[in-house]
Parts: sequence; C-alpha cells; structure tokens
Amino acid sequence: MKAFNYETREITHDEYKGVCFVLRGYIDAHTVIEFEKAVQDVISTGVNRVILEMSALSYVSSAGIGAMMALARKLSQDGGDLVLLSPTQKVYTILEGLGFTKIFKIANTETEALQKLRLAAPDEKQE
Amino acid sequence: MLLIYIIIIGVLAFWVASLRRREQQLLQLIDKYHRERKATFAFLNNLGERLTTSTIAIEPVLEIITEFIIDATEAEAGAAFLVDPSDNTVSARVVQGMFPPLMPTTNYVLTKQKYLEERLKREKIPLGQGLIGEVAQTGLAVLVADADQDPRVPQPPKDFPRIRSMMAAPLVARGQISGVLAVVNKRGGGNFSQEDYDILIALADQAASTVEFVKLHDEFVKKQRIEQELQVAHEFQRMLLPKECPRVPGYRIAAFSKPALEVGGDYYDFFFVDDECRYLGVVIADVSGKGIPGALIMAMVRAVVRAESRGNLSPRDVLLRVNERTYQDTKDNVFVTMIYGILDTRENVFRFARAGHEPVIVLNRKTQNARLYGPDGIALGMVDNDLFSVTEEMVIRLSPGDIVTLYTDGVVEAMDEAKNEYGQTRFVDFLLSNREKEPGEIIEKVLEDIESFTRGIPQHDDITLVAFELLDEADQATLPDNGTMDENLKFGMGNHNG
Repeated sequence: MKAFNYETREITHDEYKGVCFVLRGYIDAHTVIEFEKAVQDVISTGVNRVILEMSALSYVSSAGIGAMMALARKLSQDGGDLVLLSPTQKVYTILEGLGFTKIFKIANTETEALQKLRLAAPDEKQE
Repeated sequence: MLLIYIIIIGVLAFWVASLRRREQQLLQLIDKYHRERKATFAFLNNLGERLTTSTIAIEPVLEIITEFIIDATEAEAGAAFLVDPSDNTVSARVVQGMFPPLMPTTNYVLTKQKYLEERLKREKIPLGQGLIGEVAQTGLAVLVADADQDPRVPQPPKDFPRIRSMMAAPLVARGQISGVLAVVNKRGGGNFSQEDYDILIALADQAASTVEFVKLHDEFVKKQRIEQELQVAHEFQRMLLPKECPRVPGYRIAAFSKPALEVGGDYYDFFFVDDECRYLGVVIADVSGKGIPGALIMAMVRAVVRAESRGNLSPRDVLLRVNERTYQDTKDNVFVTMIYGILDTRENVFRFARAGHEPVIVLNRKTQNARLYGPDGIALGMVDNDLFSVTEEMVIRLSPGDIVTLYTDGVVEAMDEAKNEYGQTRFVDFLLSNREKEPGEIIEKVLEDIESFTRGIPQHDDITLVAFELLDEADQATLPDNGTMDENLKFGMGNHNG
C-alpha cells in the first residue's frame, strides 16, 4: 500500500466552485512533498475553495499540518477558504493540542463543509 | 577398387577443404575477438586515464564512451541515451557527429551539428517506441545494415542528414536497462557489418558497468554530502543546548535531548530572567521544520526567547512577543510548539504558558498522582497576536517532592515496528512507577523504556525531556554544597547522544 495517495473531485455548489481532495494514508515529512505538489497543481488553476476529506488519513505530522496551514493562508488571501472534513480522532487530537482547531475550519459532514466554504465569500473577507 | 580409392580421396579432399574453411573461420573469429578485445581494452585504458575521482560524472563518461563507439565502428555519428525511470522515456545525453533526429520533426533547416545535437537531446522517446525505444525496452541490440529497407528507421525531412545504416545496443547492468548506445552511417558510405555490430555490443557491455559505477558513485557523493550537512546541523543544535543544567538551591534539575537521524528542531533552555537568580526561565520547544532550516529557526527562536524574557515575569507575555517575531519571520508552513515557564525558586511556584506544546506533567509523590496541565494555547508562528492571545497562563504551586516533567512529542510518538505509538498513557504510567527516583534517573529510565518499546526501530523525531524536582527538607540536608548534581550534569552535557 502506498504511504499516501489522494483523489480529487470538483465541488458542485450553486454559488462557487472548488475542489475536494480525498486523502488516504498518512502525511509525514516525506509524503508532504506529494501533498504540497497536488495542492499546488490545483490552486495554480485558480481554485480558491478547497475541502480536505481526511477520514482515511491515519496520521499527519507537523510537516503536514504546516503545509495545511500554509494552504489555508494562501486560499484566504485569494478570497477563498479551506475546510478540513472528518479528521480522525487521532488527527483531531493532534490539531487540538497545537491549538489549531481554533484556526482551521473543521466540518463533520460534507453539507457542513460546503456551508462553511460558502461563508468565505470575497466580500466578507474585506472587512 | 579404383572406385573405392576415388571415393576415399574425394572424401579426404572434402575433409581437408572443410578443415581449411573451418580454420579460416576460426582465424576470422580470433581476429574479430582480437579487434573487440582491442577496442574494449583501449576503451578501459582511456577511461582510466581521463577520469580522476574529481571528474567522475555521468556526462564526461558518456562523452568518452560515445567517442569510442564512433571510432571503433567507424561511424559518422553516435549518441548515448539514458532511460528516465520516472516517466519511462529514453533521451540522448551525449551526441557526437551529425546525428539526425529520431522523432517526427518540423521542417526547419537544421543541418548544423550544434542544432542537431540540441534537437536530439530534447527528444523524449517513450520506451518501446522507434528503434531506440525498442532497444531500451527489450534490452536487445539492433543492426539495421540498410536503413532504406527498414520501416523502423525514421527518415527525416529532406534537409536533414539521412540515416543510411544504424546500430543500437542496450546498456545493461545488474539486470537493469539503463540506456542505449547508438551509431549511424558508416564512414565512407558503406553499411555497418556484423563485425561492427559485435564490437558495439562488446563496448556497450563494458560501458554499462562503467555507467553503473558512475551512478553509484554519484549517489555515494550525494549521500556523503547529506551526511555532512546533517553532521553540521547536529553539531549546531548541540551547541545551542545548555552545557549543563543550572544548580539551584532546593532543586534537582535534569534534561536530555536526543536528535533523530534527520534532525528535528527540538531544544530546551534554562536561564535566570532576573539578576538575583530567583526566577529561572525554563524552555522546551519543537520546531516543525527538519534539517538545517529547522536548526536555524530553532536558533532564531532561542535568541528571541532569551531576549524577550529578560526582566519579564509573565510567560504568556513573552510568548506573545516571540509569536509576533516568528509570525513575521518564518515561512507559512513552519511553526514552533513551546512551553515557556518561570520557576520562582523562592516561592516554589511554576508559572507557564503553552504554545501548542505537549502538556506539563506533575508527579506528586505523596498522593502518588500524575497531573497533566494543558492550558489553552496556539503554536508559535502561525497566527497573528489577535488570535494568539487566547494563549493562557497557568500557575502550579509545587509541594516538596513534586517532579515537573516537560517533553516533546518525539517521546509519545516513538513507534515500534508495527507503527504503534509509545503513547501518553504508557509514558505517564511509567513516570508514576518511577516517581521515587531522581529526575536524571527518571529521564534515563524513560529513554530505556522507549528503546525497549521501539526495539531498534530508528528514531524518527527528536526526543527531549526536562524534569525538575522540588527537594523536601530531608533530601536537601543530604545534599552537600547545595546539591552536586552529577547525574544532571551528565545529562546536560550528554545531549549529543544521537
């Protein structure tokens, strides 16, 4: 089994377009390179709303979390947003320990994730 | 009777003739082997003379090889191709002479050798496609004596030089096809012979092991450089750790940091924040970056913490200032987790704040309890102070005999072969069952326990532990000279154990 792999699918919503990454395996200091590249390829096409579906992601190291933080910051600068969907208890605990559950938008269902992404309308960012 | 003689003489004559023929063939074969051997020896000799350890690199070696196959087969042009396993293509790395392009091309007039060479080098030939792709895939050499008769040979537009005759042989070493050697057009206009073909194959055989050697050498040099870099990072990291733990009346203090092979960015630090040596600053931190970048960020953070903590008795306030600096100065994907605390050695109070770090564990010997303290807090360098200000400050009043333990995630995330983690539960239980020991000894035991758990699986993250104990009065009395902390000193200085 590969240490890390993913699939992408387009997010269909009336008000915006985005991409959902379904992540599998684990992200550590080595596999993070693949993750970063995958994300870069997608956002370089102009996508600014991203969901990371994490239910099959067993572990994320600090390098992986750093990459997700950088992604969140980039998307928000571009007027979009990032939502983490269904992280496992273990990953959630890691995020919580780091204080990052206060920073990341986290959703338990896809509907909730889509709703959270909708709120990232560009005009709301320009306060 | 006569007929029998005639028959016998006839048979003898035939036999002698066939012997002659056989002799002739053998002589030719010997001559051929001789030529092959000569070419191979000359090649090896030349290679030995022209390569010194400092010039061993793939391109110069391929240059020499190409030069040789052109010479030995009397070709007009030659090229050395290498397989790129990442995209299953093969492309020319070295081209000499007028080598026509092998892929369909536009009609630009490219007759100059320089253009042809660049053109050929840019072609990425998929494995299995065309003559070169076929050789690179099957590992079987090909001789096309008369190219006009063979549809596999591409004939470029009329302005390009034409391929009249062509040969290609694979570079095979350790069962792997690493590339292809090819020559085109016999000098003087004829076609390549079987003999030329055999020489090319013999040279390709020799060249393959040379190429393999150079590749291994390359890898070795690269690995050596990485190892040296790691060595520097390790050394640097070690330099930044305290040489020994401070001697503080009424306390036993111990610390230990064991870097992983790839060097994470753990560190710990002790310093007095006031001039009276009453308030001892205690730091444990983990930088998310690895290698030299991680070590540099660690150095920066350490300097900022030391600068901002002077005279400041609020750990939370210090962390806010440190966050402001690291948020500006670090890359978006780097963060630092930290516990910064100030131990009031007169009132025996530990005041601390937690920037996304593992909790503080306090072992109480009287109640035989372990308590974990994890106040709200966010890792440094990720958010501006508006958000970071949720970070809380906490105060722990120590009783005599209490042991305060700080650690990095490398401790609880140490993994065994089946990827099970050492875990916080086992760690806390282990601390509790060793609570009667001194801090230095406890750290030593924890490291042993982690080792027996991981059973030789290489450490993937730095492991760092800090422990200090408020001595009870009886214990203090037994310590001569306010505590000679041999154990602790040993740990303080032994932090380069990686």
